[in-house]
Amino acid sequence: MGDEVNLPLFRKKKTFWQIKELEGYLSKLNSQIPPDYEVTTMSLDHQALDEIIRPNWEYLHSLEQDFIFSWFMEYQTAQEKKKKLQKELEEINKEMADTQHNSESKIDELNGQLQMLSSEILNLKNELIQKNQLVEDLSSAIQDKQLSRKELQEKLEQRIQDMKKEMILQQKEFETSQMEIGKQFEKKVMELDEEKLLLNETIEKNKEQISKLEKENMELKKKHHLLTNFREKIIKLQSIISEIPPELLTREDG
Amino acid sequence: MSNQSLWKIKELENYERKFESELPPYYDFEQVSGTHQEIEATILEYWEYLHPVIQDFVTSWFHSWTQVKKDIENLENEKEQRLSMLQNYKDNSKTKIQNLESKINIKQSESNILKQKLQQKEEKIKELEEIDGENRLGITELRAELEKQLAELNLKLAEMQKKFEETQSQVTRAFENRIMLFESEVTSLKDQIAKQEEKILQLQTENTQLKTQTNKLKIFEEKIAEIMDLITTISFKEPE
Repeated sequence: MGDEVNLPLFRKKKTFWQIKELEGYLSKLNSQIPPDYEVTTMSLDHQALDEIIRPNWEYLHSLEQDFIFSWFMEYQTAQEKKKKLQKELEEINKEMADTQHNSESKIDELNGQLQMLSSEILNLKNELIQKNQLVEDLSSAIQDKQLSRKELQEKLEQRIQDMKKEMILQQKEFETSQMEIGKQFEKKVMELDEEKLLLNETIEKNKEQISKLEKENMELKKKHHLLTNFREKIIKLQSIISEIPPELLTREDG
Repeated sequence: MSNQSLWKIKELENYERKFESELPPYYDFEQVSGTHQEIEATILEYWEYLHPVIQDFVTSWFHSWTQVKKDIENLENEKEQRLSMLQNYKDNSKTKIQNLESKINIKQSESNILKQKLQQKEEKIKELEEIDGENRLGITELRAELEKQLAELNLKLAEMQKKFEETQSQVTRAFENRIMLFESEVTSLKDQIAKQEEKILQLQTENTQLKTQTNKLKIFEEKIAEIMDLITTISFKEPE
């Protein structure tokens, strides 16, 4: 045992220097010097505690120094992991932006090709209709010797006029379908937005439930740990008591 | 090494705790390094002998560490969600591109068929031209006229199409991109919920087991009280 320290009654305890089991303790970390870190990044309470402990570091037992230093190292390791994750997240976000850009460009390019082909097909169909009709008109004119060149010319012009009318109708149909497509998209976006909102609500509720269950879990583990310690202590106590010769014990009844 | 102690420092005699640090921090020790576990295992036994300043400082380090751990957990969740969203977006984009390519192939075939049919009609018109040898019907002129009119119409149609497509592609592009992003996000949110539900179930099961075990162990709490009673009633005789 070391020197008896003159302490107030409630603190009349051994210091670490006086604990026999810790006499030969060898430092596991290079903790002779207090940890070097940016104190201002910590909470105000932590800063105040650091200010008390730092100048008195040499008075701490090696085990105390090691313990504090080890906590600092754990904190540093966690901070490094956090920074690494933040960097990874930035990279993922960048990849997301690049993927989105590339995908949009490719889709735009393909949509362009598709639209060009659709337009080409429409022209080809119109041309085919007109040529079909011309073939029909010519075939019947050849058979009908009475049909004059002028009449045939008028027929062709009429057909072209019909086609122009058809085009106006097509344009109207385009406009209607364009509005329909817009509405469909809008509806789909609204549905997805609504779904996202509901899913996010569920996630928040689940987070709350998980946090509650984790808290309960930690408390139960703590209690379990304490009770397990009780059990071990009882077993120890029972073995100590059973080893005391009964003739050395007297019982005061009542 | 000095054997001075914080207990001997006068200024610290009336130190008032900043935290509830009478008991050591309780956490899952698997989360820290082996060396830390070893140091902690040694020191926990003597926690009550640590000066409150040290108890507070350790508790403060523990709180700071816990906060960073929480940040890590949040970042990991976010990372997982973003990765899942990225993968979903890639899958959606791939499907979209494949669909467009397939549509283009179909349109290409349709266009080729139409071109072939037009070629056949052209040949038919030539045949008719030959039949109308005296050019009574003026087929050559009629065909030229038709070609001219069709070219004009096609030009108008192309202009109309262009105008339509410009608006259409603007609308489609804006919506399609949003839909693709939303769909990817919705899928990743669903994945996240599935994982959360799995975790909830796992925690509920674990807590039920812990409650059962703790109830069984409660008997030792009572035993301690009994032993304490027993100890207060017994005294030692001086050995003869």
